Amino acid sequence: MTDEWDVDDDAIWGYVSPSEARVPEPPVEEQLYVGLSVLRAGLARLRAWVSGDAVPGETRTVDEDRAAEGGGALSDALRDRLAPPPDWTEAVAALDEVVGPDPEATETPPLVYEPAYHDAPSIVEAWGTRQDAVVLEPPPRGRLGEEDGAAWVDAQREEGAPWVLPRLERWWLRTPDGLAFVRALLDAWAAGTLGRGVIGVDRHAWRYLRRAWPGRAPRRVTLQPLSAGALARWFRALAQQGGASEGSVEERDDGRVLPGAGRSSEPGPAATEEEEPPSTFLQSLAAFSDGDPGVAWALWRHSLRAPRPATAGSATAEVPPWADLDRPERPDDLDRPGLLLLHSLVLHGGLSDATLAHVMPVDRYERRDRLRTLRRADVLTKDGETWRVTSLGYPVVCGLLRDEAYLSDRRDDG
Amino acid sequence: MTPEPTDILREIQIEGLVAVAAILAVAVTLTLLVQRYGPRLAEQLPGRYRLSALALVPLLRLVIIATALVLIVPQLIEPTFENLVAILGAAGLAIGFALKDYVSSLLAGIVVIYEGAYRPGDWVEVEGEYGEVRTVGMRAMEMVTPDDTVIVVPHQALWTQLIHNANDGTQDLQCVADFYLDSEHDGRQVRALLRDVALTSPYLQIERPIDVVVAEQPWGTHYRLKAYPVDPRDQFRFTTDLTVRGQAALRAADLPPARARRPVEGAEG
Repeated sequence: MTDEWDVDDDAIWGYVSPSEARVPEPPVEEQLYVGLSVLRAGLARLRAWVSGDAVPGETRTVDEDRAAEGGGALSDALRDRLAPPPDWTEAVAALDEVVGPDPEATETPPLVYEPAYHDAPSIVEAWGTRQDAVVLEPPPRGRLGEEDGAAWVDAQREEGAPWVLPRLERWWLRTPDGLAFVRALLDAWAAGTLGRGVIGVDRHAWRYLRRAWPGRAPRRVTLQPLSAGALARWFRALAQQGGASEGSVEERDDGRVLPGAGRSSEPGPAATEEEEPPSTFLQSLAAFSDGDPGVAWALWRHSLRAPRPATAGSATAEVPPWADLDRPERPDDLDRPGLLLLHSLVLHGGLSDATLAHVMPVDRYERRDRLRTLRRADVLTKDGETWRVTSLGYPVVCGLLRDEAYLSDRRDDG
Repeated sequence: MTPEPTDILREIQIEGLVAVAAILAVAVTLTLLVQRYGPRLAEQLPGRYRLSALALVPLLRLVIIATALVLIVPQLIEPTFENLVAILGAAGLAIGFALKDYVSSLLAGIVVIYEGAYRPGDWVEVEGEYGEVRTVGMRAMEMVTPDDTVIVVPHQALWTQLIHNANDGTQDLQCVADFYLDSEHDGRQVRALLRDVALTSPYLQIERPIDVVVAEQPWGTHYRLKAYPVDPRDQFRFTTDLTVRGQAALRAADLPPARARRPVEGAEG
């Protein structure tokens, strides 16, 4: 197991080759707990099946529910101060080191794997904006068949100026026309005929497109997954940006998660006897989110609670124990059409009802039923006309797709 | 010289009978439990573990039965060399005359489990019948055809029939969609187009190869699009998806389908 708490390097953000990216691992006790939970859930499901009952969910008493919730709801104002939306300043600076403008550069800029979080500007987009690069917009998906990918980019870019194309997964559709569009784009990009441009893409989508586009493999970089220590430093920096530099967060009954300013920012080894023992909450969070900052931030923000009276003096907010944290879980009744739906949404970074009909050979009533079920489970959300996997549901969906032998996002084969 | 029966069989006490009955009861119960709940437990597992778990069911049952026999035989027979020879000789005679086919199937069942000729979850074709193996029993296996008909195939078929196993205990099951075109067309264009049709199927296991095989026939060109679905149970949906979208793509590209050739006038001899 990699114990990131021992890392002395204070750097939070860094871009590395995908083969060098190390996904954080959960604490040993959580691995045991998860193993036992899986066994217990499997036996419960089998017992329910044998007795002909519905599959039992997690049933808690009111007291347990209250205990699980920890303190009361945190005010929106305090939540915004403790965990404001990230602006990616430091991440952009790190990206600049690997794709920064270099007039002498002759090779194609690298392809950047983007974190999964969909509700904030992408890091590649933020980098482009700071570089005064042209941020390209994709065509409506319904028009992909009439357009040429290279021509579409060429029409938007300015001669001699850099451009960025964030979220390539939104630039294609899993149809022959959609493939033709993105192939033309990638061919022109790899050949250098479109000038210097940086492309950001979701890891799932790229693995798929790599099988469909036989062009020369570009150099790829990915954000180094955030370890527990990196998360602690980042959340502290966010709290300082939000004006809550003194704010500290504790895990209910299990010690300090995030110290206030002036206390050690490395809760693990730096903890003294006077201080509360470190919690493993951030280690679990880092492992659950695969070190993805967007997912980790969304879950961190979601987990913050008002402190109970007993800890109100020492902490600004608290989080429930990791095992009690209310987060999306694997839907028990997920069937094949549901899986196909999730896979399609992940590959495209979200799809509308109309485009889903093009890529899913499933009856529209059946499709609508699955979408509603998955939305109730907080795995999907509808953003305008577009269905997307939620930030909190993203790790769950990735795990499901890996287990069901869909193209895994963890391997990197070009 | 054949020993007297009283020399072969133990003097059976009530305790021995109780022990035999208890062993039988436990073995039967365990076998039923494994048979009944094993496949259902496997269905609860993630897709990539399902077939491995299913394959354990007949193996477990065989182990239970073998263990029960090993425990029961010494309760009834004095386990000396002469006794075993006599018992096996008598059993062989009975089997040779009366239970030949039945025992042949039982033995083939053991070979099936040992060699893995087919396992639950495999898609096999025996004597022209194609279906998914549902259970592998001691004497026979049951398979369910795509039309939801259960076919019981004695393991004895292993000795005399060709058994076609499409996925052989893995998730990899190749599907083929056929297309027939008139010969006047650009074959490279059609190959690329059909490959894209497979690449864009939601059922596709993209980690497995896609291939387009072409054969020129007197009536036109025969294209076979070969690819693998993520789950073997999706094979018919996958083939249907390939066929429907492939035909649509060929039509959209103005590629003429093969037509039955009319006999040329005056060509008859």
